[in-house]
Amino acid sequence: MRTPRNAPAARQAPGPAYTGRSLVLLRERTARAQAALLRHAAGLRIAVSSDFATTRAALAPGEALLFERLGAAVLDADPEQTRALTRRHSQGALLLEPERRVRARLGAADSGAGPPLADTPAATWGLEATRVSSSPYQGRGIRIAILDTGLDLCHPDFAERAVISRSFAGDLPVADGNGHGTLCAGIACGPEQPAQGPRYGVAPAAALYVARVLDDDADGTDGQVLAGIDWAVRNRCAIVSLSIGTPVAAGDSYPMVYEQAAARALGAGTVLIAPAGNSSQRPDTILPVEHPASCPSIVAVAAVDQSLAVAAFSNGGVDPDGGAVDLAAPGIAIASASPRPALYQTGSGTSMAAPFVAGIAALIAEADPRARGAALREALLRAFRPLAAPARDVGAGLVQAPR
Amino acid sequence: MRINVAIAVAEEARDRIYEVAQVCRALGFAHNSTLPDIGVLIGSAEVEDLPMLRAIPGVLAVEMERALHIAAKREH
Repeated sequence: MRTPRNAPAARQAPGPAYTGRSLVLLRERTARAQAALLRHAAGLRIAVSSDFATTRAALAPGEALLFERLGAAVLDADPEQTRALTRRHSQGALLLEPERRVRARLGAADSGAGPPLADTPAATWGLEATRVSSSPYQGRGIRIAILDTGLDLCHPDFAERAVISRSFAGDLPVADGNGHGTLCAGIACGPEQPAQGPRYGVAPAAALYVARVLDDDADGTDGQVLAGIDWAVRNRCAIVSLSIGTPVAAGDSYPMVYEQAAARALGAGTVLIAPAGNSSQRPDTILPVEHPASCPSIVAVAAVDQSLAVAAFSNGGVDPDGGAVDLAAPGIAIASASPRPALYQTGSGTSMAAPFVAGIAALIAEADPRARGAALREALLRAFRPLAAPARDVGAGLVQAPR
Repeated sequence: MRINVAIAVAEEARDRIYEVAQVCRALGFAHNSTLPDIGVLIGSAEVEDLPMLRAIPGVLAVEMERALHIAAKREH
């Protein structure tokens, strides 16, 4: 083993760059031989990493934590022990270096430890968390399709808006008899200045296309939803938000019909966005991303709360074959529109998170005219702020509006 | 037993989607609608006919229709 030239001292005082401990790389192949060298050469007490369920961060003075599969160890050696190891280092018996501090290069991740966000008189908390409030873009010239329970077309926040609509739910009209569709349409495309209360819509200038695919009980079928997707693609919508799903069993593969439909939609310039699902009960139970969000060509969205922690109900990317979470968005206590006479309501769910992402996709599409279809999907998946939660739960992170 | 199904037409057969639909109909597929922009046929079929439908050249997948629901809790 060669001694590296210009290597730092074997042990450095604790500080921003070094921990004060040492790292040793051993030539011995077996854990027994590795432990024997550390014990006999420097008198260290040995702890073996595989004896612990999780890697220990703390070491007692005079102790070495041996990673036997790597042939490496972290040491909290005193000066005499360090000198003994340095002699072995200079003889080429081992490689000794000071332990460096490392951190991810993702930028500042939100731990969720800060004070929770709240609605203000100007905007809902979700618009603040996703940087929508300060974005110069409003989705102008971009078509968003909302596939849901319809929309209250006479709602004061939408009555002046040119809404293109069609029902695929049997004989039911587009008028929303449930409320879920109006809530989701409001999040994605609500006005900059609502009749009452704070701004709640992400892309107020987007062209709104509404396809009713669910009945008044918010139930629908694949046939209705696929018909809505086909209609949106034919109408050259850049984004389709479908806040619907059905649970899948762990290990189930994604459906080919939807995957093919979503891939063709991407090819035609349309990005599909769907919720990860609400059937988890964290921390004990994390269920897989639901159908149709489980399709790789559909952007799957998880929900976070006002502290930017993953919502307890939000499903995760626990299936190896498809079913990954792509992004997270606000999904707890989301204020938006309601059919008359209530006018406004608050909802929680990954259903609320998906239209947040859809609206932000419209802002990105406005900001970059080349971003359509697969290019828009890629740009969207790059528009995030890291979160402390694992990618299984929040994908890349919290979606962010373009500046 | 008759079930609702969605048939994905393979990419190379998309420009022949109506011909594929015709062959499917001849093998018992009750054809309700054609979604040409995403290459999907919607309709119903007997469960025992599904393997035949899947074997038709130009058919990528035949899947049983699922029920879908919203993913939200709401407070007024």
